[in-house]
Amino acid sequence: MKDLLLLVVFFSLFLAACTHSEVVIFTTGEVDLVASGPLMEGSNTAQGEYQPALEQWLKSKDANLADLRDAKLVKASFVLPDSMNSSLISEITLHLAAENADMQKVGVLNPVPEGQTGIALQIAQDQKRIADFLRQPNMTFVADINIKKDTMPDMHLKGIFEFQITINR
Amino acid sequence: MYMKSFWLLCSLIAITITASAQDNGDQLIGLWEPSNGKVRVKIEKIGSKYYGKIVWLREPLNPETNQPKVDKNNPDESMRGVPLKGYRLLKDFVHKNGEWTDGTIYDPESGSTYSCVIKAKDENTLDIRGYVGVKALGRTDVWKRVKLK
Repeated sequence: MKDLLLLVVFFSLFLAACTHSEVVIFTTGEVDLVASGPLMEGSNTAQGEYQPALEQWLKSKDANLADLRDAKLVKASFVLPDSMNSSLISEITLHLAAENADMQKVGVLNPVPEGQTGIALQIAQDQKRIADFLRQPNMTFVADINIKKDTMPDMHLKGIFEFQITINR
Repeated sequence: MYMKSFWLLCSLIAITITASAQDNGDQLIGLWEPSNGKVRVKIEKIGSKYYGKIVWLREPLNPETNQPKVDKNNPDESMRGVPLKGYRLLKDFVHKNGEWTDGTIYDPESGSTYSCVIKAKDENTLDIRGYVGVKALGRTDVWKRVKLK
């Protein structure tokens, strides 16, 4: 029994030594999140669909989807349109949503500093199975925005999101 | 001529049934109030799933700080600054067999997330059942639709 246990431990160490992982950064580029007006004072939702196309991107790294071990959002920032700045927004919370993954809250900014045209969110420490979102053909960035007063037009936020991806090698 | 009319009628019936099935799922969309009246929750559809967020609180300010209430009991410390107004309470519900399942409900007072199933008693009343593991180990609350004037 002792020999068997030793053999299992040795085999596990051997396997761990043979495989290693690489961490790479994947940036989405601009994602347009839209909250359709008229927007009322209080909570509103802006959504932006995104196609990760991760398989193609991984090929450029000599990897494929099966090598994708883990992922984590590390940066989330928004650029506001010229016609407005952050003074209209009191708080913003960011979620990821997808058909075959459970919605996750991944970032927040509370309070939103006034007079800015660009804002960066505080990122959630506790993130689970973010890779599941990136594996899918489509995912949605959902921003819950508390605004300070009624406003008529649609609100467009340009989001840029950075993921840290771990690939098995 | 008769056969043509028959097939046309069958197609119309099929379209109506399909449309009704989709409409029944969207019956959840709207503004709802739990039995304790502390919050109002707006349920909306993102993609093919349903989500609900708090849009109104009866007592929006923390009496200790006089600031808007935040998710102070969240197990993730980095997310304890998330405001309760706008908080996503209900997540990932899928309409199946006349009910909305596979979703979760979050209790900001305890920081706990529960599995959840929603049934419509009628157009303006929901049974929201949160549970741990099996549906028998849970609690049901009745939510009423809030009609905007």
